[in-house]
Amino acid sequence: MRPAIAKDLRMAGESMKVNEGEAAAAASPQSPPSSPAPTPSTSSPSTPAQEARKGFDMAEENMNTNDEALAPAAAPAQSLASPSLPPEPEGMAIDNANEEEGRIYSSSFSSDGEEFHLNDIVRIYDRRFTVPHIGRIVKMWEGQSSGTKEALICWFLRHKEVKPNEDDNPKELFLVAGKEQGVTNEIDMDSIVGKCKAVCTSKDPRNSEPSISDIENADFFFSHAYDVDIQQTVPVEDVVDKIGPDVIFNTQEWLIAVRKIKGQAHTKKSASSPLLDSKKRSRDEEIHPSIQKKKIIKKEDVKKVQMSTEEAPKQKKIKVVDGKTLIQKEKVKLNSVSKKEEFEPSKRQTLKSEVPSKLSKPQTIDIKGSASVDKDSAPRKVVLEKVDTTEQAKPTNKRLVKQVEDESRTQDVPEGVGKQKMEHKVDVSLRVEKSQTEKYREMDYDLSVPKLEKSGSKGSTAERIDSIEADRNEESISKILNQTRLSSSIDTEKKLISAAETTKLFEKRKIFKELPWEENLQRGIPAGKVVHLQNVDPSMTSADIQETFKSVFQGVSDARVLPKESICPTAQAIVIFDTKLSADNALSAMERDCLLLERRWPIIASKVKESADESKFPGHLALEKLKLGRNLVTEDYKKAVATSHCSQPNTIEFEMAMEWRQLQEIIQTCRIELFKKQRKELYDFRNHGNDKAQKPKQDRV
Amino acid sequence: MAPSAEPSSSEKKPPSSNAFSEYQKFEEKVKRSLLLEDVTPQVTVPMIQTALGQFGTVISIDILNNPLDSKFAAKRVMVEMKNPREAAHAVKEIQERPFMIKGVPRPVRAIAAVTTMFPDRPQKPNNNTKRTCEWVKPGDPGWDKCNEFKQLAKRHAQEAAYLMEAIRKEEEKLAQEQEEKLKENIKKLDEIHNCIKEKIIHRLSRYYGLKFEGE
Repeated sequence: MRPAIAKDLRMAGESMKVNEGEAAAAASPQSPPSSPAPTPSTSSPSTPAQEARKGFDMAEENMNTNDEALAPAAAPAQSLASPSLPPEPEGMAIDNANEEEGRIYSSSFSSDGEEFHLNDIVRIYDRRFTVPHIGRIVKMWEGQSSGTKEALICWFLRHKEVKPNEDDNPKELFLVAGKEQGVTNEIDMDSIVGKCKAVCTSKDPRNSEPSISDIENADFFFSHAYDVDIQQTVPVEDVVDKIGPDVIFNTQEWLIAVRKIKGQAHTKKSASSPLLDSKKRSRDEEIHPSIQKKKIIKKEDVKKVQMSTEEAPKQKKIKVVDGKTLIQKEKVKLNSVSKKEEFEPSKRQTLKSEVPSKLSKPQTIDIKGSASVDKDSAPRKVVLEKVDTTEQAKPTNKRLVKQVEDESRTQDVPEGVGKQKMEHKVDVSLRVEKSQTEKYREMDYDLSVPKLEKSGSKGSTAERIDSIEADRNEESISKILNQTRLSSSIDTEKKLISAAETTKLFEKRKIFKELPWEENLQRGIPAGKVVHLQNVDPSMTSADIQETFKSVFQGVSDARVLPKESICPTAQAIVIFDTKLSADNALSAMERDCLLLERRWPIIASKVKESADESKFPGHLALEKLKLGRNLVTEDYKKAVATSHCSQPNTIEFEMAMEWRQLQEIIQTCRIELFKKQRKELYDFRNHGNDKAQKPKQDRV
Repeated sequence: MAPSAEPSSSEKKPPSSNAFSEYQKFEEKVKRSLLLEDVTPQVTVPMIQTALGQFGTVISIDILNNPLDSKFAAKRVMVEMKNPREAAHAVKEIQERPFMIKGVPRPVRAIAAVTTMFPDRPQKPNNNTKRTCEWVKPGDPGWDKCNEFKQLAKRHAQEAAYLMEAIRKEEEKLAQEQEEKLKENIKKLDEIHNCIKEKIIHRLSRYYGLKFEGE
């Protein structure tokens, strides 16, 4: 279990560092975290650091179990202090909701036309991770005061999170059980992106067993739970009593629901996955060279020579890379050495899994198998097995593997060095492939999608998918790695990559769910992404503005016209950009030049700043004395219905109202005058071309 | 080259398509709607519902949030009534009498809605002319004129902003005055109350030989 935790912890630590700038956590990734795991806050909107939390919690629990190891079997025997509270029966109506602590609990909730019930298994989006988390809704409620909808989620872990050293099975999940923090979290309902098809394959009689086709069509299945208290996976039957059968087992309703989801989800998936895939791939491609570069840097010159003698045709290529990296060598070396040590295994894995995914089917299994064996540091075996596979390989692959094999043989010396060489070798083969078969690669991607569906029928394809999946998983690590490197800002190229990544993430988010306009805006304003446009053609609609600005500027996320003042001759609009940079660019461009809409409307742009909160709405008189006198904080006041009325002409308020009315009249007149004048100026200008407008006279009272 | 503000409301009625009918529907909605201005930011939908329910049947309520305004600026609320007649009636009533929503002494204003007040209005279907949008750069033939134009527009925007600011100040001033006045009033009432409570009034009435009919 140790390495698993270490990895989790590392991942958590890294992500903390990258995303929250907590360098301390990552400084010593192998040691337990110095800062305590953040407790699940009641309202963590974008589920920050959930994964990290999980990692931390697990690490802590790891320590706990070490302590408890003295008293074995104590931990499992302890009843779980309801990590997930007894679930309410499914199918309960919302109006049956009970109230407590200012929360209104409910058993179903719909969002974007999709209805979520208790015990549904859902994907939860976390912008920092490429793959959504999976969890089961244990409770749902609406905060009475805040009005936000939140849910208590019982997590699932993915196979690779639990057993990183085993062959990944991307479809298998583990239910998290235990009594520690992190088993469940409270999250915002907004971060739930949708249901997913997960079925329990337990043989328990209480479980309505899914059919084989159900399992095949499901996104995930689970039959084991991961007990964080004992750090082991246990069959779900063992934790049923602690958690409750409703949480674990399929119900008929759920199975039906799963079948139903299947239809849409499947089409959706097949529609979007090639896109995502190719995106991921291209990112992969971007990242790999950087990894490779680093590796090459670390290698001694001797090896370079060796290599170049061995592979005459490839020599040129590597030389080029060497050329590039040599320049950076000096800078990078210091940083890279320590880090590389850390990421060695993961990198290797990445590359390893890359290789099989490129090879043709039958070999995949062998090499895949060997790759995992190789993890136990037996590079020789790999060589042997690869030889076997070479026999059947296509000529291109044959050549490739042979080279690989040749090389590793020549470098069959001490183990440490051997490992490095192995990497190098895989490197080379990767490179070879890249150069050889860009097309082949593409084909491969295309193939991978349909094959995903055939997974049940062919063992070999399953293996292949595994490797692809592993590849994908590793990609997240390499991403983190990439980002940490960025902190040492080695070269701009990487920066570009990460920038591209963030935008990709954004796009991805959009695929899941369009951000509501308001939210987008609220986030955009402090980030400086929002531009305010004045002098907009009043006949333009939001769609018009959006279309126009998307055609003119890069990175326009959203645009909207503001509700117009009735008498104002011009309209205003707001444009939200994806990044501050693009907003600034657009702003300066509009300042420098002139953007003419419809040949008549030069746009005036300005940045929207956070509005300073003024104390209160003028005209809303709240009297402290009155408040105290009437004891307004009581229940009565809360329940009192604010009345709206036309005031009678014999009251104080009527007098006040008249004063306001007077002011309103004056204001209105001023505005009308001003706009009339402006309109006239504009008219003159447009017709005569010269502007003889006098200074505005602001006839204030 | 027409003058600036096109009322852009109900106009031509060409091709009968889906978009067209949608737009027509929208225009009908506009006729049924009214806009409330100077509404307290604490307003809620049910509040408006009850308030405007006095004038007819409320179909929908949309509290327009202007992101540029501060949290405490006056809000505008778009209310859709059952039919144009009710909307007109409500507008008339609210304009004629000081209508106070949530008991705020600052009365709200109401005006009949026009299309441009809806931020998410649909596109006009007959608008098949492509929107033009062009850059004019320094050195281009039309630059001088264009720049002048831009400066004018900018000045107008500034003027408008200045006016808004002045209005806000004015409003605050009035609110301040009223608050003081109200405080004075309350003080007065409190004193009277005390007089009654502490029987001072009885003494006074005796002193002046007047009859006090309180209690």
